[in-house]
Amino acid sequence: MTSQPGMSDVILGCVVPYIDDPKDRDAVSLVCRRWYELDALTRKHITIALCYTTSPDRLRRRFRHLESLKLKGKPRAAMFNLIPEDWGGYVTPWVNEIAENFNCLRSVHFRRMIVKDSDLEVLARSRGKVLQVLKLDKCSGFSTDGLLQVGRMCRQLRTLFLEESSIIEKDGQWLHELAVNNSVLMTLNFYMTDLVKVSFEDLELIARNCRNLASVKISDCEILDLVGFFRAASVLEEFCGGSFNDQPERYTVVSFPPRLCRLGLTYMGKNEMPIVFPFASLLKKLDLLYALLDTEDHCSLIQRCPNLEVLETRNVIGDRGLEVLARSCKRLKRLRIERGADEHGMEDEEGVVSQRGLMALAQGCLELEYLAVYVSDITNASLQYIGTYSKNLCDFRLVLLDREDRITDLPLDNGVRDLLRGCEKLRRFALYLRPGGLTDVGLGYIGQYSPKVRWMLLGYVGGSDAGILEFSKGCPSLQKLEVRGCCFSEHALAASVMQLTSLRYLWVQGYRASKSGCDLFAMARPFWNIELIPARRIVMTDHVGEADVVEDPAHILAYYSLAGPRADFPETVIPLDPLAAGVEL
Amino acid sequence: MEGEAGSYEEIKPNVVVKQSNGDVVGDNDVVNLGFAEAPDFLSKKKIQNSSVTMTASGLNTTSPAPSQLTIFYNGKICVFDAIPAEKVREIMLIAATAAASVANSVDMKNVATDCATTSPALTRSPSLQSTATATALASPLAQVYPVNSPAFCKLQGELPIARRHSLQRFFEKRRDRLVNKSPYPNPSTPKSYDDTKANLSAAASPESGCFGKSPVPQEEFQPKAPAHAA
Repeated sequence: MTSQPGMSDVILGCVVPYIDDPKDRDAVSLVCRRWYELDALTRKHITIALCYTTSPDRLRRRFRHLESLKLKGKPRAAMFNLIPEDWGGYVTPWVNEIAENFNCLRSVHFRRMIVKDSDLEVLARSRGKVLQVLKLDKCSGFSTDGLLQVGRMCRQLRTLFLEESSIIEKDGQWLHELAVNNSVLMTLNFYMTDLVKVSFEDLELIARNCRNLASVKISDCEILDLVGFFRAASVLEEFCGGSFNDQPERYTVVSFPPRLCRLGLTYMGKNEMPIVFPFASLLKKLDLLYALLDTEDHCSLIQRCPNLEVLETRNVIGDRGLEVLARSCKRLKRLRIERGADEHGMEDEEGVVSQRGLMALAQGCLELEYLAVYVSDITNASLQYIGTYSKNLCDFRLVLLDREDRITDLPLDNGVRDLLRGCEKLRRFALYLRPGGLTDVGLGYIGQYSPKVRWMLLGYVGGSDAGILEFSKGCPSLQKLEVRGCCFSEHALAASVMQLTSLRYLWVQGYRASKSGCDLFAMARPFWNIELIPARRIVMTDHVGEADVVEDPAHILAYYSLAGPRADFPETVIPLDPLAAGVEL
Repeated sequence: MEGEAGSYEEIKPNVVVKQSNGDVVGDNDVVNLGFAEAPDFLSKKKIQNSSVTMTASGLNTTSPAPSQLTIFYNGKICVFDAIPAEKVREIMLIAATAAASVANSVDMKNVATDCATTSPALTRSPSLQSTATATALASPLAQVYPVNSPAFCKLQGELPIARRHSLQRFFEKRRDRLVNKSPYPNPSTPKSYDDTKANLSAAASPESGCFGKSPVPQEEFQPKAPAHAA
């Protein structure tokens, strides 16, 4: 082996650790056995996009020296209340393997998974001395007792991230433990959790003890109670959360840390907004998703933020707000415009986004990389503008709201085509329309003109099976496909799966069932798991807060797995096993 | 395959399964059982009630013959020879349908009996039915919509644009703040936005020092002029 020509092991060993990109690493590992082993020894981070695609055991056998792991569980649709809570994604087997064998692991990120207090205790006990990053990202199943163990035993944490997790709150002791045991914390995030028993004095203590505290995102806490915290957190760059419950004038006493450049203040209204003005020109990121501003307020604030790079808000920003954004924020890279409430009187009348705003945005913000927007009206021309001007766009998501009966310019076939052809860097793409929004021809265009797109969400597009079949002849890079509300038959879906060469994950809700129900088996193949979540009746709270029983149509979930079908199905999920059905593979 | 049809052991003492003569027999009642408690064929879950103890004089093969279907149900084993693959798939899906129907809907027991005959859950008009196997919708509903209306219309009613959980939560809390502030909504109140009103509502919590501390109570309306900037 050592006598072969080419790079010696020593040189290779020096070079390979510098290769970080997962795709490059993937390529490296395929060259030969030697390179495979070197990659396995030196790979630092692994993301497992769906935890059921492999097993803890396999991970350990290949990447024993892993330093950082990210695991995702529930389908993305779980963020929209579409997936049963007990669907799966349990961290327990992974935590047990981490505790036993992954001695180098310093960073753990679980996203949309079920975590128990016992898991946290095992993790804290076994890895507490070395763990630097713990992210429980949109997780559920644990309580503040589990966090208490983390606070007590993980004293080296630089990052504790709990954003949007459903946590059973017993008390606020966990934050106190963190405060007294940790002096290296840099990022603390329990934003969008409903934790209320935590004490702002503990927050202040953390700020005093942790001299590198740079990012803090919390649940609702009166801002006036945080004056001491802000004073102590001298290197703070990011803050989100809080709450405004007092007279606006009283907030003049609030003085923010000097380096603060990423901000989101919950329930901030027109009268409190001016406290941000003194440093608005420093702001790089603004989160207005949970603020209480109207269109005019948006205009007033945004025009003071010439250095803004990231903006998240609701469609109350309106076309007028987008025009101000386009004029003022030339460095904008990421823009997310979420859907406001539907209730009458809760949002600004002016708060609708349409082609007018999009066109201004495209022309004004040339550095845009990420755009996600809920629009009330749309035209082909506005999409063509995006194709023409937004040359840096990597991620584009458009949802057409369903409140207006008449849309100015449908179908969007040509606009979509021109957008895809113009935005050559596009990697992620979502289009959610309505019947007539995109014809089969348009769907074919998507297939034809998205060479690099790896993830797609398609909602209410196409008109018949011909559309999806044509679509699936293209999309050479498509790895993950989500389809909702379309009219495709089982047969067409299965055939499309077989045509999409890079597809490894499919989620569908809403499709035409076959007479026999067996057409899905057309996509049966080795290592391809197929699961059904049959139609259910679920209770949803509607916009006036009333409980409503809603029919939730069936889902199909299919994915490649090296681990075979999973063993932890709840009652709501049914696997389709081609072997049991005698399907020839 | 014909020659392999041996006799079968009973699993439960009070069940006798007739020996097949090599054709598609076994217990005919299987098909008519109504699948009220259908086993999960498709899930490889452990077979209920079965301890699969075959004595030596019984089953004379440990591996199934090529087109042989074996069903374990409620203490009975039934074997069918020469079943075409498509039929097997159909049976599998019927079972899945029935299992799912029972699993998710209490008031769908009457559907379960239908499943035994053909599979009505699976034979609804394709243009109307967006849901797959094991849909909980009763068939009368399918006739509300004329056959030639686009599949989409029904779909959009069933599948409204999903709302993000985080924002739903925010809207609920915002509404609560308004309600707390003005429990008696005044119809003549101008449609102004939460910026004024919501500031005034109390976030109730008895514990001092905690995030939920109640604020100082407020007057009705704040002046629209911006607060003095520091």
